[in-house]
Amino acid sequence: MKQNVRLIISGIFAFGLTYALGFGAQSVIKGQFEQVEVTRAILDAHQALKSGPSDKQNVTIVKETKSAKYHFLNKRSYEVNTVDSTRAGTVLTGENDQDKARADRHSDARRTKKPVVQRLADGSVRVTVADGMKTSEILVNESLPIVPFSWGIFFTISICLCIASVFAAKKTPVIGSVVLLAGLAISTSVLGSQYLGLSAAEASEFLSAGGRRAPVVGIPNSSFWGTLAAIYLAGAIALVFIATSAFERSLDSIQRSREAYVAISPAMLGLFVLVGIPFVVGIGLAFFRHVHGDYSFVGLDNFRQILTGSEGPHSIFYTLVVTVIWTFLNVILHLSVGLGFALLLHKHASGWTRIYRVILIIPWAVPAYLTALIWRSMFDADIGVINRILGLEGMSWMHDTLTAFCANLITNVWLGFPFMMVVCLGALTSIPGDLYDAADVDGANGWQKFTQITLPLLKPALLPATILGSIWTFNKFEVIYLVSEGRPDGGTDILVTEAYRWAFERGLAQGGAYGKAAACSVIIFLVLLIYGWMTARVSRSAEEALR
Amino acid sequence: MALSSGSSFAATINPFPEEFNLGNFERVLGTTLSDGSWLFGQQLFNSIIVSAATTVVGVTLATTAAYAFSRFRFGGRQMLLSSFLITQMFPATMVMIPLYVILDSLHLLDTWTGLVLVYSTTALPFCVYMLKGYFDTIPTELEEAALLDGASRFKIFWSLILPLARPAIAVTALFSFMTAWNEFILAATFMANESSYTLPVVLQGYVGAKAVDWGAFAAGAIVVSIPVMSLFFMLEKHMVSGLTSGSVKG
Amino acid sequence: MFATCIPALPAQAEQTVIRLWHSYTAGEREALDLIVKKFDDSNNSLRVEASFVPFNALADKLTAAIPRGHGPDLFIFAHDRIGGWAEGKLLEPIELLVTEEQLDRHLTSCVFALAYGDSLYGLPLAFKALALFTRTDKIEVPPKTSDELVELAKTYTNKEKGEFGFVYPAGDFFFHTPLLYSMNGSIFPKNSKTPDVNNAGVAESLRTAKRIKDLNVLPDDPTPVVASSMFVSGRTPMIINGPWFLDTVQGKVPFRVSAIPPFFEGRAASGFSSCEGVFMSRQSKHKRAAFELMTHLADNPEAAAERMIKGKQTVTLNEAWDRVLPQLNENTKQIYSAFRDAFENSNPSPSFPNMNAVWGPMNAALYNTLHKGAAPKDAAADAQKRIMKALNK
Repeated sequence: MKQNVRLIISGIFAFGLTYALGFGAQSVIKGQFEQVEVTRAILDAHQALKSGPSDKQNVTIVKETKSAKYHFLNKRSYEVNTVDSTRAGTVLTGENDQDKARADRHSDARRTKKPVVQRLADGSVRVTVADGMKTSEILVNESLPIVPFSWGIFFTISICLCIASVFAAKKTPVIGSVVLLAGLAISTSVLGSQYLGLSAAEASEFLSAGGRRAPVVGIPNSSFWGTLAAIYLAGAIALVFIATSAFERSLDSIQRSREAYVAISPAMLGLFVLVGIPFVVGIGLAFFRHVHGDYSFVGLDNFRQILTGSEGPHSIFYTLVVTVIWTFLNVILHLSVGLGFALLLHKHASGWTRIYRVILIIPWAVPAYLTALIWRSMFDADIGVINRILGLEGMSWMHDTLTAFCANLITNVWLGFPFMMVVCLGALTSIPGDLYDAADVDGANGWQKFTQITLPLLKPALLPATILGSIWTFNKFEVIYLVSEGRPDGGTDILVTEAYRWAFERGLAQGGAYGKAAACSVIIFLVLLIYGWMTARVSRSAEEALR
Repeated sequence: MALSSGSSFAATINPFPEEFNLGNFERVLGTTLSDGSWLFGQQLFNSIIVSAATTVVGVTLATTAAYAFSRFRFGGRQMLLSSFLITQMFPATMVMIPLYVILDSLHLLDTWTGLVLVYSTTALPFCVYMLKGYFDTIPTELEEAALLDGASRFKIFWSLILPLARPAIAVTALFSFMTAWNEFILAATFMANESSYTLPVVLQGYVGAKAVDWGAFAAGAIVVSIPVMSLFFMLEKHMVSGLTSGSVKG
Repeated sequence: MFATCIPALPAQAEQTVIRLWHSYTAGEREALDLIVKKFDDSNNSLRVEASFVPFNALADKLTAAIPRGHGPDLFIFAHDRIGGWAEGKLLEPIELLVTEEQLDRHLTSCVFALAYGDSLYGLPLAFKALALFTRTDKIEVPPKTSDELVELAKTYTNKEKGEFGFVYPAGDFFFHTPLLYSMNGSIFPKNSKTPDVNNAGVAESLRTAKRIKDLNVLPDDPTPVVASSMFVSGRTPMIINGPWFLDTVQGKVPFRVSAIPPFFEGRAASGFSSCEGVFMSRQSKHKRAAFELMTHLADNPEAAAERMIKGKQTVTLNEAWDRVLPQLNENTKQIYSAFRDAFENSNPSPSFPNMNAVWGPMNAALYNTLHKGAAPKDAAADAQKRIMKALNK
């Protein structure tokens, strides 16, 4: 690629970066400044609750004055006190939307015991705080005394920077980066300092007003500067890279494999957006705690809780062992039964074979939910078919971990063998018949033909199916949840049903313990990742053998 | 059970019904909307369209991607290939809300496109893995010969490789179809109106809070299973078409 | 000339569309559709779009859709989840829109069931309570005391034939609640949102459950499905179940419904009951209009009568009962009255979010007491420990 084009790209990049950083710095510092405003409003509101509104404030105080048959109707006799005394002593009604909204805000504050902060369209801030059944609300309408941001000046600075860095980069890329960084640093500080100065001024004014606890003034701390420095560094490295030949080389290699990238790009795009984003969100959630819509960062706390104790009598390690045994037994049985049927059907091709093939696909065709329910009722102690056939009426399968596990196992083998059977059938047809003929000529018997010809040639097709199949079985939710329901007392639960219970059953106590469920899911992921790494070596060698 | 009358859950799952009664089937198949239009028909149509589209999209994406992974060596190949597998390892317990947000921001909620895209990408990892494994067993000599003759990659792919890979493609198609056909919770959450539901959602409609309309549920389950079985019946001759000996291994 | 060929279009008034989500099927759904149609016809400026969502998907769909603005204006659901929804700001408080007179027309405990914190979130539609179902071809008069019940149960138990005298889901905490409240057990102490099941009443109820099991009139693993199926097939003459069972048995089995007798020395109690109500979403764009539909659904006597007759609902509107009962035949009248009596003795299940952490441990306590020989007091204490663990406390 021409050198000029590369330089133009780096210029555009510099421009964009300047813009983004300046804007970002301004927003962050403005946000910190607004925090001061809100905190002060909260303090004022609490003050008004204690000692009544002072003259210059726009405050509403609401308190209960009588108690009705329906306690939630007490709101109707709340006393509204405002500085604007025309509403003093009146009650809240639902007649106009404003009053209703006000009443709802006060309810929220009372219930959550936290201040309710609302930022209105005209820039003013409304804060509602509660103390027991008494609530107060204050409206603060001080506009920030800020010099309006001059986009014109900023635009000019950015353009100059671009041109300067492009010209400097013509000499050496390193000098170009240095010019860019210097320019960025200057513009960010100029803009940021406007607010920093104001923040400091506000803080000292607040303190000098005396008699009140100073709020925490959020002057950007070290993490802010650290992030800024990291972005600058990344920008510099990118700029150097773009301007050097390494960029050209990687562009060339992309150009060479152009066809391949085009071929895989729709699939990769779909995967990253629709599978990748939920994946990243899921992992990220494991570090947060969710309580009724509020997420807070808790680091490794979810993992600590999951690993050191569980709600039921079985620890997470027990559940992990159950899951591993479950997966192992299932995969072995799926493979044997599926391969067995496939061999039978493949060998004795006849008119009936087509019918048999279709019948054997039934377990896969019927929705898994329904199959699980049917098997569950078949395993029922008193009305189930299985007990009737075995003469074990009255014996409960779900009261003992071993029998419950077997019930799950039988159901899942029924559900899963057709998949393996179909994969095997497909793979068996690709083995040319003359190989067997040649073996017959050599005098090989059935078993030798199977182990020397069939199995090795099936491996490439079976390997991906087995690996994926084991991953699916490890996370097989419906069967465990619907057949044994984890009984007895969580004894047959696997990791994924544990995660479900945290998210959608016992976790509903906090609106859904998504953090804990995600932590369980991360554990599942790590175990499967180790498994995948181990099997990767096996499949890699199989791939090599084919070359 | 589906063929006996009433909604009682018979004491056993009796595959041989006591009374032959098509009433449950009538109920399930004959649902109508308030304006008289045939509701079940619309829902059946939804299922067919979504599943067929998923099959087409899924097979297309999977075959092209698998071919590229099998034949080309390019930067990031191993990593991208593993990403298919790795994303499968994370359980899909709580995938509904992020997907809802993503589809909402793409304005694909309550559309067939949204569902088809979600289902296709769900089916992709298995399909790509399976097809790549299959393509790997097809030796490259034929393609190299064709390339020398001046054929384009695409022509080779379309006329040479695809017919050879018919069994694997048949499996892929069946799998994609079934992923879409049997899925319930995402369809129920993303689609807004009853007339846009797919059949598994209808089936779940017969499951109440504390009571299940077993007769209708069973009848519905049979109806829902029939198309998959028919599709398998149609596809399985491709799965066993076999190869003329000598053209591949030679 | 050309203009006169084009027929003039009638002026379309600007119609507000109110969306209502529900999971009603069969008779209840027909009733709802009729009510909605009548409301539409009598209201020019409002149009209702009632949408069916399968029950298993409704709660998740609401949680996903409402915060993002794609939810309905109103929805119909049971009361037990409103705690979590209220905390998550999904529901619109309506206490400033209702009048005391309007609330007085409904069963009072149902009104309170739809309140959480200091707000009211819905208007009550119907209640569901547990009652005793008896097969009249075996037992003419349902037992009124537990001694009678035990007598009858013993008579009809024949293990060889697979017949049992009295089947109730003993290992399911929901069906254990009649015993719980009969023995004065409690889950939440007064004025507290944190459960405490480690009390004498709970232990006593566990002991009573064991006592009933030791009578050998129950199968080993009775689930609600087993109980229903045995009742229908005649293997048991007495079960505990709710109004959702009516559809299954009516017309097939001769039966009577009566209040659950007090267990041994306890008081009369029917355990957990559920109040179904219509709720408003906080993100609704037509709240006042939606409230009109809410009041129509809940308070209109014709609508309530429709729900009662066609939908077979036990409605909460008192005057609907006065209207409908005289129209019914003796059998049906008896059934509705029995459920109402059962409801009077019931406790609406707690809607505190913390209740969700109680089910698992209490089911385990039942399992341990009934099948593992644990002492009731220990089982209750153990359950309490597990609940606290689940709540991170």
